[in-house]
Amino acid sequence: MELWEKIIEVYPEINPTDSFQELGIFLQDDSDGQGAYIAKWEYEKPIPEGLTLGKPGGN
Amino acid sequence: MTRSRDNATNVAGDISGVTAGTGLSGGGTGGTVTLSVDTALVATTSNTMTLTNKTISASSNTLSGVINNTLTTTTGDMIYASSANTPARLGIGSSGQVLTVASGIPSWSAPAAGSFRGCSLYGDGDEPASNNTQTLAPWESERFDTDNFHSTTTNTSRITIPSGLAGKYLVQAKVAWNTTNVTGRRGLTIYKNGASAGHNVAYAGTEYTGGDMSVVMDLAVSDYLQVYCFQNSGSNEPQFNTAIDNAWFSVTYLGA
Repeated sequence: MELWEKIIEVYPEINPTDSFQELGIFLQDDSDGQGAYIAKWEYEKPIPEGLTLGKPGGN
Repeated sequence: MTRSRDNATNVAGDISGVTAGTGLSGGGTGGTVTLSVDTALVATTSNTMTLTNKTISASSNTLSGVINNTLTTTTGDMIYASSANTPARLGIGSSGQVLTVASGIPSWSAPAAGSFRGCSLYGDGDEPASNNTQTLAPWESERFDTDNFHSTTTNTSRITIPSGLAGKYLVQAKVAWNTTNVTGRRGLTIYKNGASAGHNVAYAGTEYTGGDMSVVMDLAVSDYLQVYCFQNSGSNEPQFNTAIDNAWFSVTYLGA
């Protein structure tokens, strides 16, 4: 499951075609094989449990 | 006793005649004698004269030789030394020409064209782009790269400003989207040193759409640029394409 799908699963009020950035959710993938991560979280609700802010490994 | 001037014979000390020497004219052997400067031979403060092969000496300086004014025949001509102590004429050049040096002497020539400096990149082809995720575009190949702005082996996503080339750059980027999906938007963003540089373009998702952007940026040595692509079709289906005929990421050095 992709990161954006995990977020929608927790917050079903978000539609897949909504602009996550306009909601304050910034996802990023540096094409380095580590997948997408949450670069910035300004959504009105907290980061879903099990997900973390920033790139895994801190790079 | 006095002598009569009428019947006098010359005695020692009397002047019997005045002869005009070189540079003088006139003279005579009796009566009032006049000597005049011969202006054909002697320069005065008022006459006009041509000096030929003369050395003009002052108390401490010697002016040896003069530059002939006939050396300059045309308005705009210049005088230079074709060798030591040898004046020569440089004829006026043509409009737009600039003064340069060739073989050790000045000459006029057309201004040299500025040399291009920059790079242009493309990639391998389709790249996955998760929904609602800014995805970094890799650029594995170069059309050209004049100053090692880019590496095809290390951090291929980056264009890095090399030493000595800080300044203004025209930055251009474009990718294509290989989908018939028309939902949502597509876009790309220029990142500088790992963060959004605030330069992006977004456009509606249409079939096989592609968008490009151009911006002039002021960049320092070691600054690096990247391109992040975006789509929110609601699925992971659209991929962006970086193939040589579909995409580019380039910088053009404009000047300091």
